[in-house]
Amino acid sequence: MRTSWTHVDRSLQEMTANLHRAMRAPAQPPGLRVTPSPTAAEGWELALPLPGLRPDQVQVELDGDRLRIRAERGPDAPEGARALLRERAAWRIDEELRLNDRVDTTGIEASLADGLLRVRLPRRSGGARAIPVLPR
Amino acid sequence: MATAPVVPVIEPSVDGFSQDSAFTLIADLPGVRAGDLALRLEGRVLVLEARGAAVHYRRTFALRAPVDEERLSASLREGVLTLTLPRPAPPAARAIPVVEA
Repeated sequence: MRTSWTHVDRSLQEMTANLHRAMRAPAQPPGLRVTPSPTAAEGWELALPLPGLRPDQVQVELDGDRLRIRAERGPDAPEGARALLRERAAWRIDEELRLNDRVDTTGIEASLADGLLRVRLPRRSGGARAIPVLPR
Repeated sequence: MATAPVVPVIEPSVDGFSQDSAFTLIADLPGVRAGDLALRLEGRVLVLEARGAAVHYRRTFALRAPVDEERLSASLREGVLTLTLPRPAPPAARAIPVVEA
């Protein structure tokens, strides 16, 4: 059976919508984005803004073809301060993304820097594979 | 021909707090490094501009109270900017000479 990439696209759109709801910031930066890697032949890159979080505060798990991302940010108001403006909500993200069979799940890598999570989704190498013909 | 993609410019989410000695502004700027952040004060207007990985951020803030420009401080950690805007120190007590009328 062939898995359609549009299925993943649709999942991504739903995830993005969910993330926006989860973060309660509809006009905010795009939540989760998946874009081709700089060299498209390599695969794709997933980017998710997680401002304020360190790597040990983010869980990325792969179970079969399901990629799960969990993260939580609590309130971080300075003590003894009167709030004049509150736009940065505390949030919790628990999202699952189903990867299709074009992703090499053994080569997935995640990194977090400057409050931006990046997950590298390498393309499974070579659609066609030569099968050696051996003499008997 | 590939053209350079248009980078969206968005307003970052911010929290603002008032304390006795200062105002504090906290802004979410995921994907921004210190070198890609510009802050300037134009009179009573604070301008924040930053270049993120896929988006640019820009927002201006009209300050309703004076701040001590010389003592502004900013730190950027994990994509979160904390900007401290100290209130001006009250003028030193000054003796007022009393003259005989």
